[in-house]
Amino acid sequence: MILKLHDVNAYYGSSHILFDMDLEVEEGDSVCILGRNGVGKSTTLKSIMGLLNPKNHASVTGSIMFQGQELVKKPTYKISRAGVGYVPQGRQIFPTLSTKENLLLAAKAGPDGSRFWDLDKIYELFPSLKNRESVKGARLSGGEQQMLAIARGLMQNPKLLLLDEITEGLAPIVVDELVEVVERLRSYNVSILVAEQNVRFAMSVSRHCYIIEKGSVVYYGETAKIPPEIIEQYLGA
Amino acid sequence: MNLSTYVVPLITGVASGLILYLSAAGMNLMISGLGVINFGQGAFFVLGAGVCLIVGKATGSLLQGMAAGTLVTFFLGGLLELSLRPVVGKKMELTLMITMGIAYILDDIFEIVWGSSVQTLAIPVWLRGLVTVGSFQIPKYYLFIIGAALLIGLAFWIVFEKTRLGMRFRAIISNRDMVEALGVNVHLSYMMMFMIGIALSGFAGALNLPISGFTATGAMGAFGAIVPILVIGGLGNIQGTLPSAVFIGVLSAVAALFLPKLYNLVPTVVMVLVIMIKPQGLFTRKER
Amino acid sequence: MKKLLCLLLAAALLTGILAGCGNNSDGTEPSVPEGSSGPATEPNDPGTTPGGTTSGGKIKLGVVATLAADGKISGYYFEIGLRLVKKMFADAGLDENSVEFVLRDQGEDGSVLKQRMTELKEAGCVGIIAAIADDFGPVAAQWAGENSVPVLFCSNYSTEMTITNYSDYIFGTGLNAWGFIKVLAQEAVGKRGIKNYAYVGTDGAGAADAENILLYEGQKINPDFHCVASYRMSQTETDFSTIIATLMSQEEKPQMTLQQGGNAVISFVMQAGMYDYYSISSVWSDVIIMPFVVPTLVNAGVYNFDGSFGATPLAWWDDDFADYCEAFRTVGKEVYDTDYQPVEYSMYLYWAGEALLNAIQTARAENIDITDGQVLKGLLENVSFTDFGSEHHFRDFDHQLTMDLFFVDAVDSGEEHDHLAMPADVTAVHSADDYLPTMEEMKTYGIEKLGVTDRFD
Repeated sequence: MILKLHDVNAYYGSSHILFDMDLEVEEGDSVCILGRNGVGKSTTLKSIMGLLNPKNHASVTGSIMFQGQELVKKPTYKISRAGVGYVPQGRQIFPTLSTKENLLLAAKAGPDGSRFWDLDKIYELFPSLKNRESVKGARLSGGEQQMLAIARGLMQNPKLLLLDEITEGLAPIVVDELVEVVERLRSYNVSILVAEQNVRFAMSVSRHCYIIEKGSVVYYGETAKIPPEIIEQYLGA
Repeated sequence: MNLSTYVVPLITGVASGLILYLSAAGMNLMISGLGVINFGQGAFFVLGAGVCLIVGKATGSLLQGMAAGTLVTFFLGGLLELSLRPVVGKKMELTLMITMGIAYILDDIFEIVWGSSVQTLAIPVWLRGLVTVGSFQIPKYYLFIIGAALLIGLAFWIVFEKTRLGMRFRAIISNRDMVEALGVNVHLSYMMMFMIGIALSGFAGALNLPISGFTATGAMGAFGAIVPILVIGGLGNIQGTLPSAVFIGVLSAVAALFLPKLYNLVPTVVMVLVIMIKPQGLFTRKER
Repeated sequence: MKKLLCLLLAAALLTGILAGCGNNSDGTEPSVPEGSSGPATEPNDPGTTPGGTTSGGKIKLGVVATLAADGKISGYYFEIGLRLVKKMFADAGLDENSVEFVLRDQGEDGSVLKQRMTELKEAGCVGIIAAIADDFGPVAAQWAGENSVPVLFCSNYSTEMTITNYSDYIFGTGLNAWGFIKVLAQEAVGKRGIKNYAYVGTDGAGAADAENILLYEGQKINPDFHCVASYRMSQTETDFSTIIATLMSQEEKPQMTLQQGGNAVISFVMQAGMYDYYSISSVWSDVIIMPFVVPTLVNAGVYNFDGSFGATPLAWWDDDFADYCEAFRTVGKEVYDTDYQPVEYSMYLYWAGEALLNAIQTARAENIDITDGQVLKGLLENVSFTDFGSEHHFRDFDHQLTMDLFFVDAVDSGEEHDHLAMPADVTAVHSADDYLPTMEEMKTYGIEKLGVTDRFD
């Protein structure tokens, strides 16, 4: 098990968002977190990443174990160095840095010293990024930014990659490309945790699935085997 | 009207503006990178001049004095960052109060160390005299100022745009949290920003020494002088600092030439107008 | 949170200590119970019988000035000046048991100043020495009149202030701005045929006076005398380069530049030197020929001896004055461990002290009890003394202290310029009768320029 959340509660100020959350990710697996808007999908990922902290008037209690390390109360940069890569909601590409610079900023060795993902490998997986190497982040299209955000996450050589609402605002054809990208990542044995509103996308890239409602897990199972009525009940549009 | 009537005052105004540009640029670096408005920026301007005075007199070399002034303020910038670390990112009022307090304390310390009378350092012989360009005569030292300021400005730009350090600065300025999420320990970068920001002011003070003399209690005045540049260029807008400073320099030349009775008021009035009409600054670009 | 609070407290504490605690420091003389007699009188105090004839009450004199954190007066010239005044009193047999000087910080604005002076009055002071900036003149004058306590004003005495804000209780021991400028005008326009001027100075009250009166007096001699350009700057301004560049490039260039503004003159001259400004204009000011200015500028290689003129009330060439300078230096070394020369302000304070001493000695000689400010005022109106060759008394219609004024030309002695030596030659001596404006002149100026019609009636 590469990641285990146990009894995690998350607060923004006085708002209680996550309630006694339990969640696990096996090494090499790809897991998705599904749920309607505002149930706490992103908050879960942010909690893992240490982005809920006193500076943001937020806090997390409980335990988040990653490869034997406790992540709760750890500063974000240390969590990243421990091997968790984060592809944030809204992409958050550095607008004044070029594509290449965005990648270089993130470049580092993984927690085990591996430097598998470097500029060359990234360009292999994302050839379109090579073409836009010197273009400033602000000038990239939504789809390109999303590719860059994922690529940037990979440049950290993470053991676990967190993908937060990556299909948001993207055209269907781009979403299809993303499915391909994530599948290829899985072939490289990168563990993936995806928080998604787009059910179709989430189900095509994950093997296991958590459904969340009001900050707690209400269903867990293999993605391929989720009963339709469950989907209807918790995700019905 | 004779063209030469305008050219020399304009060049002089721009030179004066460029000295302030350096201090203001340092200020904007700290504002955009750390969200800190350093009220003590003027105090480091004075300190740079004061160290330049001591070293310049001891070694007989202005350049050595300027280097010393820049280095001392550079390292003190690191100390200042450490002392502000507990409050950076929290309420801005706190950093404001602390930097203001530091400024007043330094003011008193300077007066004790250097005394209250104005002291001078001679311009080195090779920078004295006037340069004749066509029908104009410009003091060599002012050309030196323009050259030095632009050189430092260029160096700053190169570091900012073309180096790893600058890359980290730009990333931090646009999205601090994301940089941390990528595993970068931003504190070292913060410290560098601070040290560079303060050193720029120290250098400006040293550059200014041979033309204005050294006044130990000039810190608040030096701070006040850059406020119009900051406001008109956009608070925290690094790219806007140079055009804003040149603009102020040109303004002061215009004021000297056409509005002598109001000379003192012109930068302040323009600043107020900018606040009322375009509060984000005249030289800010829309995208951010 | 804790760390933060500690930091804040430390900052606030330090700021407080260093900034404001001088506000309430008192004179440090121990108070002596009423009725005790002072030491035996000195031989040079002829009129007093041993034990004094005043009712034995101590006379209290207030002093308002800007105080530093350690309780000393902010300007060394005033601090040393006051110590020499106390010494003067002690030498005359009036030590702290007979005359006590009570010190108060003047505060940052007029209302605080008034408050402080009221505190001094309530503490029993019958007279106050005001070692404050000329801007505060009107406030001090107002307070003095309202409270019937004479205030001796030790700053450059603005004539416009005298004309518009005068009260019977203010006594000016500073240089009269009109007179000073009149001397400059006579020397510049009268003797040297200068036809125009530029003004670069602060926007303080005394400075406004200076330019207006230069024009006024200059035009009396040559009606075509006129202003080329006039710049009013803030007191802390050190950048005059654009102004200098402008003046150099104008079609009509100034032949003389009146520069006012204390320490700013150093920045001005440095920048003027860079532009070779002296090739078009000489520079006239009160400080440009002073020992604390010249060596600094000579070191910077920018002092122009041929083009620097000024006037001063300090009698540098008098032997007794040399003794005074020596005493000044000694005290300076004791207190500040620095070699200092007197400047005008220290003399104004000294003369205020001398006037008060004179008044008190006269009171003792004639068995007058200085019970309140009114009595002291009457005595001050009649004081008369001579020092360093110059005769001093207060004129009856404006209470301006008379003094000789020396017009000086800077000289290059060829030797190293030491900050203790006066690098100037006296070119002309103007006595008070010659240069101080007469009542008629002030009346006319008041009516013509200030709209004041009921003064001097």
